[in-house]
Amino acid sequence: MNELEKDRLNEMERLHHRMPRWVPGLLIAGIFIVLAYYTAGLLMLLLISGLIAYLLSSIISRLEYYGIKRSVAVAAVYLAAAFFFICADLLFVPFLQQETINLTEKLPEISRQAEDAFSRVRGYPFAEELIEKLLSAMESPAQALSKSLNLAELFSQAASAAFALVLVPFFVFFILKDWPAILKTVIGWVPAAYVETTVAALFEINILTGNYLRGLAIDCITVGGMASLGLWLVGVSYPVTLGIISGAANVIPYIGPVTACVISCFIAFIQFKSPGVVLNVALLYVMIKLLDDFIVQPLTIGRSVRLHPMLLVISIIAGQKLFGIMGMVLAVPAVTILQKVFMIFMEGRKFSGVRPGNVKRSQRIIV
Amino acid sequence: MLMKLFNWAFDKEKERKLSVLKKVRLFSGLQRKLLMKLLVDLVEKEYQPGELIFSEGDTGKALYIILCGSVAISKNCNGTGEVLSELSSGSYFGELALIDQLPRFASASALEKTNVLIMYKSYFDDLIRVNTAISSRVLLNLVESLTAYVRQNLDNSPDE
Repeated sequence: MNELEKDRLNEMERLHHRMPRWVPGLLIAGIFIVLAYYTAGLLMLLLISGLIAYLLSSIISRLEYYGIKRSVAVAAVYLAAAFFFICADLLFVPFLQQETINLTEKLPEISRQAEDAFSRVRGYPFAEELIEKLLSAMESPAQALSKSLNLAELFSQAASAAFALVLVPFFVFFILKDWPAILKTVIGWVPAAYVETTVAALFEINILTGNYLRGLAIDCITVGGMASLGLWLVGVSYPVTLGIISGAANVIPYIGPVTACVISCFIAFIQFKSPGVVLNVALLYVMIKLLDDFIVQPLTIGRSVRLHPMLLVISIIAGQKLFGIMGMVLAVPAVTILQKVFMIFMEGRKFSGVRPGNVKRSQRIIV
Repeated sequence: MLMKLFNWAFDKEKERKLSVLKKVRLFSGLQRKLLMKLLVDLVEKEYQPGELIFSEGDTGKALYIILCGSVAISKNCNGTGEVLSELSSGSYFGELALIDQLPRFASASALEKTNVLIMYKSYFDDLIRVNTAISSRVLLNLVESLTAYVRQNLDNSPDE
């Protein structure tokens, strides 16, 4: 090897082992945090789009395994989704309309029942104030709507919802279609020394997200099922609806189950007007929580999420402050991913600078 | 017309890459669908001529499969870089990272514009855990490759 080649090799080695560009990196992270704070709404739409795209990506990949173009696979999934929504619209919307009309008609009666139930507990400390608040929240839907929204606000909220309904499918389409190209571009920017660690991080993020979402779905269905069955056994009305609410609320750790319990206790109290049944419902939710914590979760989410309870609660509160309810839902997987990525990057440092011993020359080589 | 539409729906570029993947010894005997899965799932990266892919002493975490271009494997001996091998399209390197995650004992750099597929160790572990037929095939191929290397080294070593 001549001097020129030696210099080139040394230069390549120097470039390969150069320190990451911390200062620009920190600057970009800072700008990103500021932008995220001021564009939280748009960022949330992007996050939701990313989540939907992630859920659909496995179907797209499976179609690609048969050699189908990615763009064709994405278009096929969109067509299938459109067909599904049209069918769902034809089948379920009339049913939902009827349910809503029934509930609206029954609201004055439920309100009267609640007043009757609450009259029994008036006189207890703090009960008066709490009852007034609850009753004012249970006014007729039209009154409540006219109080809480003016016409301009209503239009603005409808416009935001329509905007989201158009933007999310648009984002999802392009994320799905261009994901391999985006990934290739990003990997292309990564310096050679960090390529393997980046690929490792991407792979682990994919595995963690998949395991978390699958685990969460199984956990929510199990909790929802247990709540429905338990409430039905106790004799509480709407056990299926309350079960669905309990399952969905379970997505938010700690806060979700408490909220679901309060709602079910409230319904049970209105129905039976007896603190004994409320206690039974509360006990039922305590039992469900214990079963969930010690049996269901370790078998489902527990395998993918290993966060310290304190870090878990802090991340949920921070998520709520930044992005509201969706922030609470996404806080746990986001912090778990950050923790895993940090561990992968630290792992890479274990052998830095270690050089192996002399190796004999060979034509066939294994590295 | 229908045939044209059918052909248009299929990815020609992937078919070309698949033909390269079929030549990779490590995956010999694997079905077309599984090879396609590797193409879809694995990360692809392009290296410019002379660009270092990994360096001697780096912690090995992945296997590289050359889709196009060529790669030089070199070792630093007493301050000078000695080229041990040149690999071309359809070859793979960095396979020891799939077994242990110890430092690489040689460097790899692109000799020309080169595209590689990168297989991370955990992906490989998952792949062989999910399907026993795949695992026995791929592990056998890997063992064959290691055995050939050991035999060659024994042949090259001076008599004691």
